[in-house]
Amino acid sequence: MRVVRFLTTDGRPAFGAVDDDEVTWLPQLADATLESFVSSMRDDQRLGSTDAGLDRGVAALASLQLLSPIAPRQVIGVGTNYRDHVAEMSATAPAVPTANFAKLPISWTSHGADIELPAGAFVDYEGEIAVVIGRPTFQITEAQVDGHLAGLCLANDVSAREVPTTQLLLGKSHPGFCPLGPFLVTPDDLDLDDLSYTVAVNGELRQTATTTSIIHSIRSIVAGFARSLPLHAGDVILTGSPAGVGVARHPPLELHDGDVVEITSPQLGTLRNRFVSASRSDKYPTSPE
Amino acid sequence: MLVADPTDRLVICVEDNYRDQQTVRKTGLALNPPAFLSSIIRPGPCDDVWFLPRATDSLTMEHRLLKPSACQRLDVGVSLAVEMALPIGPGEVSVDEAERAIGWARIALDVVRRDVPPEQAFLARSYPTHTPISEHRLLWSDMPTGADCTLQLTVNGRIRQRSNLEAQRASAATLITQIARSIRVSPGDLLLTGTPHGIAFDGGEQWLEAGDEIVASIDGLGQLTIYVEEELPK
Repeated sequence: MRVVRFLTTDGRPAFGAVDDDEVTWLPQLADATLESFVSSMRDDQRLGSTDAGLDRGVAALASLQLLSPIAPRQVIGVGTNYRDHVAEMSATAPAVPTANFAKLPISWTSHGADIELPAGAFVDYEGEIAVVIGRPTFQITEAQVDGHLAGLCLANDVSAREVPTTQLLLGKSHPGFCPLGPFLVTPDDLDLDDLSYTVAVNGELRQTATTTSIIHSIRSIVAGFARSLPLHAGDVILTGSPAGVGVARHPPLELHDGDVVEITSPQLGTLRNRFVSASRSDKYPTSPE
Repeated sequence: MLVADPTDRLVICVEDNYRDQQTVRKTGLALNPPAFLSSIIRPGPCDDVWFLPRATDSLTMEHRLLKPSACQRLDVGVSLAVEMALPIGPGEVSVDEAERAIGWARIALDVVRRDVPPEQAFLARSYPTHTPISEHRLLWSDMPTGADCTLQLTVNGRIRQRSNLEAQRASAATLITQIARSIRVSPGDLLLTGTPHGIAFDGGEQWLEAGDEIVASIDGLGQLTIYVEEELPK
C-alpha cells in the first residue's frame, strides 16, 4: 500500500491510500495513527466500505497538499553504506551498520516544499531510502524486521558542508534539511533487497543507487540499531547515499537558489524539492502542522 | 516541567568541552575531513567541541538509571545542563544574545554506553533513562560562574570528578551561538555543556554496576542522586 499524508479541506493532516492518481481516505479516521489507518484500509479493501462501516473520501492526488508521510520522532543516519560513496568521501567502509549521525527532528519537511539555503552555507544533497519504524522495536532478528516497519520512502539528507565535522549534527539539522516522501510504501509491497533510485539536479543525473549493492542491508541496519537502542513508531532511519554528492565533485558543486532536486524511484515515487535563498523563502517553511 | 513529546524538545550534549578532557578523540572518533572539504569548512567559535544528539527518550527525572543487561561498560559524568527560555537562530547571534536566551540551569548526568562503538554516538547516548536531569532548576542569571561554580560527581561516596566552569573551553552561551548558526533553538531545548575529566573511560574508575549510588552536585543547584538498576533481558 502507498500511503500519503495530506491536509484535508479543514486544514487537518490525514492519511490516504494512493491508487494511480487517486487517493482514498477514511474521513472518520482523520486523526488515526498510520498503523490504524493501514489496518482500517486493509479491512476496507477486504470487506468493501459498506461492510467495514466506514465512509470513503476520494480525491485526485494532484489536487492535494502533501505532507511528509511521517512527522519523525527522531532521525538516525547511516553515513557510509555504498562503497562508491565511501571512496569519494575518503572514508572507511563500516564493519557493522553504523549510525554515523542523527538529524534533529526539526529538520523534516515535505515533498514539494521549498528548502531554504542558509546564508553562507555550502548546501549539498544526498538521496537516500528512509525506513520508518511502525511499532516498538528492540533486540529483534533480521527476519523479524519487516513486521516492525511502517514502510519506506525517499529522503534527501541535505547537508551544510561548511560545518566542521565535529558538528555533523548541526550541519544536517537546519530546518528543511530532511525532506521525506512523497508517500510511504508498506514493506509487503516491496523487495527491500532490490530497490533503486536516481538523483537529479535540475534534470542532470547526479546519483544512481540500488540496494542490491549496499554494504549493510536495510534489515541488518534496523536489527543492528535495535540491538542497543529501543526504537519506536515514527523513528526514521536513513540508509545511506551512493557516490555523486556535490561536495566530492571536481570542482565541488553546491546547490543554488532555484535548484530543483528530484529523487526518483520506480518503487517509491519521486521526491522533489526546490532550494531557495534565505532572502526569498518564508522564514520557516517546514513542519506545516 | 519536562515535556514528554520528543518532537517538542531537543537534547544536545557536547563532548571534550573541559580543557582536561579529550574523550572523543581518545575513542578514535576524530573525523578527519577529506582534503576537498578543508577549503569549504567555515571555522566557528568552538570547533574543538563535539556536538552530539541524545534521544529525548533518554531524559528522566526519576532517580534511577537502567543498566542494560548486555552492557558491561556503562560510564557516567556530571554535566551542567542549560534550558532555553527564548527562541534563537538560525543565523549568527552574539554571545550576549545567547546568554539572554538561556532560562535555567539544571544538573544532568552524561551517561554513555562504552560497549557501543564510538562511531555510533547517538546509539551510545540515547538509551532510556541515560540522561537523568534534576527536577530543581535555577534561573540562569542566578547561577554562580567560572571558578565559583564547582561540579562534582561521586559514585558510592568516592569522588570521580571535581572541576569548575572556568575549565570549560566554551561557555554555555558560546556553545549556543554555534548551535544557532545552523538551527533554531527553542524554549525547553536542553544543552548538556560537557563533562570534566574523571569518567571511567579516562581510566582508574569502575564501570557502573547495579546498586551503585551516583551523587552529582553543582554549586547553586544542589545535588542529584541516582541509583543504578540492572535491566533484565526482555
